Amino acid sequence: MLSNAGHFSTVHEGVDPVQGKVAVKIAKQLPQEDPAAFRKRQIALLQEGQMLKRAQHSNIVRVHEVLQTSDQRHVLLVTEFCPGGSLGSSVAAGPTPIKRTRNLLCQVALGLQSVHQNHLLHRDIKPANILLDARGNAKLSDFGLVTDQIIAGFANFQGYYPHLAPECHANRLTSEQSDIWAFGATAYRILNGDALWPGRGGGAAVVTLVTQGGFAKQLDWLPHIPREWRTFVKKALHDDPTKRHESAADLLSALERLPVEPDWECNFTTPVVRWTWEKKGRIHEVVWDRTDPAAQSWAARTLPCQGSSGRPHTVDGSGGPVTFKEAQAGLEQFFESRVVR
Amino acid sequence: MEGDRSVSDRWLGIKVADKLFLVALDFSTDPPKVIGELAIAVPKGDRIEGYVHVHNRLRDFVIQNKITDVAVAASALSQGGTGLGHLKAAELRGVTLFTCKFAGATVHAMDMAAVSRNKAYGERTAKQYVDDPNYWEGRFAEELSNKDSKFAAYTIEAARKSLTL
Repeated sequence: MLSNAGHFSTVHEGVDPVQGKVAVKIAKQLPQEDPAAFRKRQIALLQEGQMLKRAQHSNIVRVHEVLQTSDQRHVLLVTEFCPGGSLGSSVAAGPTPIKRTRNLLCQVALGLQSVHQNHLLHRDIKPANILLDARGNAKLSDFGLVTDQIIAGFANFQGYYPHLAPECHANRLTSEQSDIWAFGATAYRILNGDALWPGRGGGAAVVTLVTQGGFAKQLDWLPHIPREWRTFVKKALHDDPTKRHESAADLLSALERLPVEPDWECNFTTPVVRWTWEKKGRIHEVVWDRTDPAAQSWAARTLPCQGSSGRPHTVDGSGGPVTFKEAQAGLEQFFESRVVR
Repeated sequence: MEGDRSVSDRWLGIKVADKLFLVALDFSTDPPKVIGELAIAVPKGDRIEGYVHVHNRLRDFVIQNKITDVAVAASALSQGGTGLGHLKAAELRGVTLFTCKFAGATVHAMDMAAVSRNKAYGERTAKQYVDDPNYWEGRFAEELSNKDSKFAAYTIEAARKSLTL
């Protein structure tokens, strides 16, 4: 069964008599593609399998085998099947609560640490390349752009354009520090969802912003994201690679210090944004009405969970129509005052 | 996942407090060299999830640095009573011991009080050794960034000495 169709390859669900359900990646020949070029891509698929094996880790998709059909026309990369799909669809759906985000990012950082410690660069870190196994654990996948051709810490220029660091565009090279940048872009998108991501209308807008400089300072944030989290992401997205988190280990140490309470669930799919958080039998709810851009309002209240006793209680709010900036400032102040540090 | 002991003796010393302080030393060279220094904190929030994170990071550190032996200071009863901090540190120590064994290393749980009282090491406590700059002269003093790391390194020395007594 076809589960994903990319430009250069297709991914199918398959059944292996030993492993059970597996994912099978097959390079597909493009229309009018030179047979030699197609053969080269098939060899690249074999190398992808070798890289996956080299970086083997519980947070990297496990490779089972690389097969070639008897007519030698196709190479098949057989890997672990991740039934939870990719984070690409979850960032498109909206923001992820910070506690879950922290767990996911820790797991991705552990996988990235294994990549770097095995003297490899990933060069394609993005939500769509983070898969979830049956238990919801994150696994770094798609090693198609992974390279071990690293000289003095640098490899040639390849990668997912919207997640390429500014120095990659400038010097046409990639490094561990450009992987850290891509990790930062991924973290931003998991936290906020893609509604605020400058690349939602296409990657070109992001590339323009990145190459202009000061990308991290131009990002919009959902008001419930604590300031420590913003600092963490901005550091990963610093224009100067020497001022980013130094390594995947540094990412992990920084993640350990980030606050995760309250763990707001944010529904950002409509003009009315709604946050909820449940504690001790009460639901804490914040509603931001953005229907009229010129006259917005917000209100925070608590109410008993279903089956619990008690009455709704208003906590805070805009007290009437306010501008977008006033609403955002009020909400940020409200959420910030509740962060457990 | 058993460490390759034929390559080198790579030791990891761990001080367990509210976080883990790790120092890894390679004894295949003379003098031995520091190959890693790291602090792992229990992340904020749910403590059980935090232990899973500590387990994952520590496991990776042991495996990726090809650690053969781990020295961990054992729990000691506090004369001032046992508080929540002591109980949490004891939990973390349990996670630490399990993880290092799980990752294929030989684990040496050291009674630091007994070690520092043993005349083979002198009359001072482990803390006094850690605080003494003369003791560290020529012993990784420049590489190790703080006293917690020195304590972890001292734990390795004590464990290695106890094996040769």
